[in-house]
Amino acid sequence: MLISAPKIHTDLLWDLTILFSGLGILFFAFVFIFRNRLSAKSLKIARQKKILAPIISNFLFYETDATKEENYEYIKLKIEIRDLLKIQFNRLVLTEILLDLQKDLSGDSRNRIFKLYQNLELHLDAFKKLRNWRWEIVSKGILELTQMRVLAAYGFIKKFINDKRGVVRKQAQIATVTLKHEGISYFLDTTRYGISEWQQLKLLDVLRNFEDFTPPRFKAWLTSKNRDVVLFALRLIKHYNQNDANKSLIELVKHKNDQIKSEAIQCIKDFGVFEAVATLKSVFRNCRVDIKLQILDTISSLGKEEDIEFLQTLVSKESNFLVKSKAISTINTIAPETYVPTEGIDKNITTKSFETNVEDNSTQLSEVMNNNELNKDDSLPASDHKEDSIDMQDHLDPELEDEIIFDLCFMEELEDILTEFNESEDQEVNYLPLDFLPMVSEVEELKSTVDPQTTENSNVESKEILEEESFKVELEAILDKIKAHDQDVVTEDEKDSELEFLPLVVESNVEEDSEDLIVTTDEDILAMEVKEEEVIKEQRISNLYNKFLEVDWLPKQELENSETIAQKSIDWMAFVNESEGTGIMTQTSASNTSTWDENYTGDEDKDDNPIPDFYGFSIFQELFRTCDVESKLILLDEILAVGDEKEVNFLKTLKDDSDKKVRAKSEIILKELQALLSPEIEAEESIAQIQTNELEAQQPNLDKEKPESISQINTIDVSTLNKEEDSLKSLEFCFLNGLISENDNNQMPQFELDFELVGTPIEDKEDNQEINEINKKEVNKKEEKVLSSFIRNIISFPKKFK
Amino acid sequence: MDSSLFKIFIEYLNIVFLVFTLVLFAMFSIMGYLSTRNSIHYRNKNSFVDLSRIMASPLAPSITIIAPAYNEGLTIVENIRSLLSLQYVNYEVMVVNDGSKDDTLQKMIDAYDLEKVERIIDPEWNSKPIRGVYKSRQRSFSKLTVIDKENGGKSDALNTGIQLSENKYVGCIDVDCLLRPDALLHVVKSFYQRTQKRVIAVGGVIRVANSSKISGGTLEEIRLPKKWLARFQLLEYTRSFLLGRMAWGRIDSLLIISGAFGFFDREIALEVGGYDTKTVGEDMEIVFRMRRYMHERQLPYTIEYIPDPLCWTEVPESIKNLVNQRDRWARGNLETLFTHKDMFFNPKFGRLGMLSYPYWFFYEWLAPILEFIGFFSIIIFYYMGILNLDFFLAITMTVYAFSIMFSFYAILWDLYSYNQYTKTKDILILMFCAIIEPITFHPLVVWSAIRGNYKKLFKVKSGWGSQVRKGFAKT
Repeated sequence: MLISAPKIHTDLLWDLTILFSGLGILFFAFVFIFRNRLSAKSLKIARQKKILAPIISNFLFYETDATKEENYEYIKLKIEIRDLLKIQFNRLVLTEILLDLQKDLSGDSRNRIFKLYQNLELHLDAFKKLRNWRWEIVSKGILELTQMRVLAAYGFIKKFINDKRGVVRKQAQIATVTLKHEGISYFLDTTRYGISEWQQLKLLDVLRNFEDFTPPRFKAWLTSKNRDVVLFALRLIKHYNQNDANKSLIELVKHKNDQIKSEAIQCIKDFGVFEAVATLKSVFRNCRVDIKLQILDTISSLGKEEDIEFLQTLVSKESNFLVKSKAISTINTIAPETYVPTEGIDKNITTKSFETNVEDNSTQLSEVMNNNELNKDDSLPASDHKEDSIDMQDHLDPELEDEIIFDLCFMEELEDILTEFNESEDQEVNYLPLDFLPMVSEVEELKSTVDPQTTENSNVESKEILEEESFKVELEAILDKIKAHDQDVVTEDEKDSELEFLPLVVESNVEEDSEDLIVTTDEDILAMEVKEEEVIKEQRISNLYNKFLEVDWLPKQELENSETIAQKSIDWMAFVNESEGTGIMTQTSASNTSTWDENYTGDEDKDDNPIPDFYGFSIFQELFRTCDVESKLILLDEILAVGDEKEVNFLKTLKDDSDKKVRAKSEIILKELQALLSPEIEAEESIAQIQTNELEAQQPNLDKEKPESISQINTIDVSTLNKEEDSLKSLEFCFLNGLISENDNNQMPQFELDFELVGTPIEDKEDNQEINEINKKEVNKKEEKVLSSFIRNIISFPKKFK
Repeated sequence: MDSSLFKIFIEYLNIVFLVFTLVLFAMFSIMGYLSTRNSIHYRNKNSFVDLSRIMASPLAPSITIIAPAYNEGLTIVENIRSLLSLQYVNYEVMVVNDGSKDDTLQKMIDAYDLEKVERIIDPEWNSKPIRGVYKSRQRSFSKLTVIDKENGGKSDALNTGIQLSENKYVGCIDVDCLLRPDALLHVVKSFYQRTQKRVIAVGGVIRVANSSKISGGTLEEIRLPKKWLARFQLLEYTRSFLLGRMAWGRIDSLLIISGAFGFFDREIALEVGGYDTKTVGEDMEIVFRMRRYMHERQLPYTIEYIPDPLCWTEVPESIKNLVNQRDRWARGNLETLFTHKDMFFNPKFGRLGMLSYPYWFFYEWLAPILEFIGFFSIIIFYYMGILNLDFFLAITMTVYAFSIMFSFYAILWDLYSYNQYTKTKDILILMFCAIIEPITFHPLVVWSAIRGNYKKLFKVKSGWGSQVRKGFAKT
């Protein structure tokens, strides 16, 4: 046989059958394994969420005026959650809960979530993710840090802005823009890759949701070499109505990219750039149909009679139906009724002149002019047609039209202002809305004064008089209201002046700039609070102590038995937590010194010396009794964070602890705490000295002595702070400097000065701007320093678990 | 001599069948791998996206959803309500009444308070005359536009919609389809996520909604179909959309976008002249033409595929309707392949010509014919006593095992990705379907394909056929 077919080995097929059958059985099993795993996992998460969610809500909605029992529960929860967080799964669930919660909450509650997230050190897990090799993990980390507003992550994340992995890059871009207001500038400056439309959509969404955002002038990026940056800048220019880039817009109409061209044309139309019409006409020929339509649409808005010739040419030469129709529509917009309906018209009925108008294209232009002249002279009949309605508007008396528009806008504005005003009555007002004063009126009162029927039917004069009169009345009423409100605010601020202080931050080199009071904005303060928590913790002990002295529930008799001591510890902890919750940590030392002085004197009168008894007892003592070793180690960290002298004594007792780890750690903590406390004691001494000076200041002849004493204190403060690891100073010292300068100039009582600082006077706006500028620079420097210390923390983080 | 030659011929025929089968296994295995990778990538990538925040963005593009309606009086009002409640701001619902003989138009006019409006229509556009354009007097239905035109078929209705739309993207859907509320957000994301390539079309998965609980135009509870025929189709759709198309999407060689849920860049759709009105496989044909258009101009482009279950539809529950549907699909397939025959193994079209087209030719068009011939050959050979029984049994069992294995994998992957059917009973039923499908449902599909090809090749006049809808509202 010359020709023979190769033999088929059916065994191979049977082997394949077995293989596929085996795989089939495997998949069958996997279906149920997967299913069980999925449901088990979701069950486990749900169960854990049930446990953790109440704890989280306790933390989030913990009230500062809670009862002692509640406070005790709160402390127990703190320990409990610390224990739970040792398990990675719990950390994951907790992160998930917080991420979900932040989506549903806003305002203060949301900020609490952000704070809690970082307090529980969950952000360190997210930081770890940034180092992972898998893109989805890195992206998840970035997302987490962004959603939880970890500002310290900004420096890390912005490095990914040009990452070659698309998802990581996009996530980093969103994060950069979200975390800081200046992020958008950085992003537009540095991005090398294209920005997809979807990404632009998301970035704009981030910007739109910013509060108090002053966008940069986006025209700066119209010269970018990155095509997408130019495109996005154009869209942002349009969105923020930045009409200061007309020349660039006209140039961009000539761009090769149709999207850029289209956006530039849209901007030209929106901003009414009349000088662009010539360029639009010149580029028209080489454009796509949709761009042509867009150009014609723009010409219909901006065009004049001299543009009709160009449009006429289009009508006669253009082959595309849509473009042709649009050109006719544009002509009719510029010169109404140049083209009249031709479809379905019985031509036998039409007059000769009308026929001529329709049929003879060569004479159309002159007739357009005639028509326009006629239109100017005669009032037009009412019409439903869009173009006609526009034309009607053109023929309205411009002054009357302006008045109508003004009235409408005014009333809307007025309503908005009044609504805002009423809403904010119970809130803290930092400045008087004086810039709105001429616009302010009250709608309801206006309505009652002016009968709507009469207003509608009466002539313009009577309407004007009525409105003028009512306006006066309204204005006066509103002015009174504002004044009254102002007084209320002042009174409230006076009442709260002991507590309501702006948290002030200065750098350690404040000695050199001691005359410049650095006032941070609320946002900056928030940001700084988050980042400088560690620094503030070092300073807050003295504040807490001073504040604690104010509390009149302090027992007078000596605390002897352990129960009383434990109760006292709860009180103390409750106070600590209260302070954390209300931001008392950020009080200025000046207020503390005054209140401290008063209370201290008062306490001295009431009791011989109750404080030392309590002062010598550590709140951690009671907690240590019931804790396991792991919790003790965590509590030791807490001691370092919040502890003071009494903890030193307590730590000394731990030298004899049965556990080796606790002994070793307590020694380390003791040393660190002692090192931390040495400047604290000095600072307290300096504060005590201020009190003495303040008391003396009541006598008129002390004016000269004050600066001397204060400068002495300053020297002490700065010198002590310079020794600290972090270069940031406490808020108290910052305020102290402010107090000094203000007192020197105005000799104002302290609480009045406090009010001045909280409610920034309008006349000082310019000064404040300067201060803010300086402050911004200072804050940037500080952020860099905080970041560097943060990096150290991150690096040392794994050691904590060893 | 003659008998030995015949024997050799038979042996070579066996080898051809074997090679064909092994290539099929290889292709399906590669598809399984690619779709798995693509699904994982898609899942990871989209786990960071909060689509809802974007729906009212000033940069969000405008979309027109075109829904042709022919004798849909029973369900039209409810279906439109469902379309009007999608989570997106910048969109228009354009229902094209394709000369319905029932009260479809009147029901729409009554339910949505429609009035006739003037609309400029390009006289050069080639479609059946438009009788009127309707808009609602009520602001709450301002997104709705109804076009009433003379009957011209689905393609003609869609073309009218594309022409009259003024938006950047057009979505062509079946009016009886149920879209998930965030469907348009997914579509916009797909159109907008590329920087280097222009996305000319977006397709998505079609899921089976038979027996599911639907209320007020929204899917309330997903249930397994009660009818076996629908169950088989559910399994088939899962395999095809979740594994097949996902794999083609991964290598950017998708050649078909389902007519029930397909979105197009309007500019390109108009450039290629819209849908071909002479074919019943218009959804496949327009994709071929759009790809050709971009390829010939060497423009960077892509077609995106969304695996999320965004579109739910009612599949035929009677054998007659099913056979009609598959008959039409087979004819459409043949027509499209014939129209674009110059692409067959043409390297000018890259992967499209060298991979997608040949696959479609051999395994979508030729496979059922070979199966049909093979089935009859076996019977004849058996009676002639020349059947290689060993080989026949071995290859049949291999194909059968592979078929079950592949279906199981599809079920597994569906469970892992979307977990639609949570009851153990439902999963077991689907698995049972996978086991009996090759001997029950598949022959029906093969027969339908043969019928369709016969009709086309022998020019037997046949149109779209019709399917009587039960209507979602009544399920």
